[in-house]
Amino acid sequence: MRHLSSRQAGVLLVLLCSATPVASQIRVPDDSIAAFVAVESELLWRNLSLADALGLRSGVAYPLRLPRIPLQLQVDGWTALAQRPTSGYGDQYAFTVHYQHILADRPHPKSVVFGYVEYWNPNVGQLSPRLASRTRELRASALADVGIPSEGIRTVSLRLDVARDISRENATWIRGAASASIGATVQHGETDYSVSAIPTIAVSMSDLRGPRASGTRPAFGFHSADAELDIELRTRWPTESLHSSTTLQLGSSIRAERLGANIGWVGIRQSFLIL
Amino acid sequence: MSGEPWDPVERDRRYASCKRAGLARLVSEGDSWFDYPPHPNIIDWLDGEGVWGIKRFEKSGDTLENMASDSNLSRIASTAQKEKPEAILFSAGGNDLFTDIPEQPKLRWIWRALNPYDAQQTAAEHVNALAWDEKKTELRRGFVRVIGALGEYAPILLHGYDYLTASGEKVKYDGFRPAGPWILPSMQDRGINDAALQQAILRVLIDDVNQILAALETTYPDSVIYVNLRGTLRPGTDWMNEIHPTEDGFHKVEERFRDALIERLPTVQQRRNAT
Repeated sequence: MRHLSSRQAGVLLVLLCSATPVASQIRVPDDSIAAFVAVESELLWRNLSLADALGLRSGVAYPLRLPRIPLQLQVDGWTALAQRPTSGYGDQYAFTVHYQHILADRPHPKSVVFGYVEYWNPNVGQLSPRLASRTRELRASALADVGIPSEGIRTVSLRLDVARDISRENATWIRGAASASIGATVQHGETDYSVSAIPTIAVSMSDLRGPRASGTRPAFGFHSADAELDIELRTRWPTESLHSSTTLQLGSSIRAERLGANIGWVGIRQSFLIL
Repeated sequence: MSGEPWDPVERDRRYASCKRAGLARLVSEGDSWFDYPPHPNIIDWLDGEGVWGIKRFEKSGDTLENMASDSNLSRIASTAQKEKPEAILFSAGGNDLFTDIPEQPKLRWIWRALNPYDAQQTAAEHVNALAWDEKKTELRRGFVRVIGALGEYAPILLHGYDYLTASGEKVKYDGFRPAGPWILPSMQDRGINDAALQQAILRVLIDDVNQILAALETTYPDSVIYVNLRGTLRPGTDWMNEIHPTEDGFHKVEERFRDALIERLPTVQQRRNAT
């Protein structure tokens, strides 16, 4: 073992004594139970039209609160509310398992999330009898929050998603997105209401053919460029474990030609969070 | 995955996750030193320590007068009764010096605390004794109300800020909402233009506020832990504007709170348990 000089020992002693030791630091993952239902003017998945119809979106997230292994189970649904499709993948349901690894805690959190997804498209046989109704996907996401203090912007959330279909399409999809939130909170009696505007911009690339295309796989390239604006009203009852959010969603997307025409959509979503 | 740290629902979600992770519980109420929109503040940094889960009630711009109202104290007391926190963190009094005043719509209350410039007078003599005495009485009464309502549930950590600066710096919230300056226009309106005198007057005011809190700690040693922040922030470097530290400045202040929670809180808790 290398011996420390008296100066090095002094520096070490100062370092050890200068900061109050914090006994046990724990990185806390999000482990809330959440559910949502939404009606959207287009039934979209990654900007692919699943059906020419209004869409019902739904989802439930449930954490498996295992010590040191924060897993989240999620079930999502894309259900056409009008005629069943004859040209798109149609209704879609997905079961996902996520694992979140926190790289840095607040106030500037950074984490990576790994996921495995099982998709089921019960109507896909109408598009082509040869298409399997089920497929699987591996997914990874990197999330980081940064701020712009000089502009008074507390948080810009950056997100990079990578997904690889490993069964039906064997296609890769990558999306980079940035979002921020501007809002205010009003206290009325025991209840807090917060209203926020959340703009998001994103650009994605893929070699997905799109649900209406067939033939050879396209080269990996531009998929879509998206701009979204969520107007959200959240309600908090400080002594209750259930919180709700109502969101008006506005979105537009410039899509690669193979995916169809550029598109705009609106939606209304109701979410619940059980703490 | 993290959400917007200013949102009350997100704060409750985080608190619930921290509780499940077994972190020690705190309750916080306060002003912008606990809820600063442009960048992480004291509570955000404490939250990132991974030691405490914090049930947050603070709101930027809030006054002690409002926080000490019956309805607000009742709301926090019922939460403290239910959550059984180890301590209650409280930041208040600053905005009470900067409320609107009808006789000077463009200036803030601090204008009333200043006498017109007189080259023969000291900094202390530039403070309007009557107006300042009245304000100090209001502040003391407000803090006593807080201690009376919440002190039975947990020790309360109070602070009296560091020496504010009459820099004239404005602040921008959310990229477009301007605020401030809070101090310099009132100083200039009173003819107090010398920077050293401005700083000396602010020193008198902040010292007085801190003396109120130090006296309360002496009077109520089982209910109050006074955190002296004076001298924590480097003038001109650690201040973002007249009344708010930079992100690094808030981090330095947070370290004082962290030290008080780790080093001084256990002693007070032992005394409370013994009685």
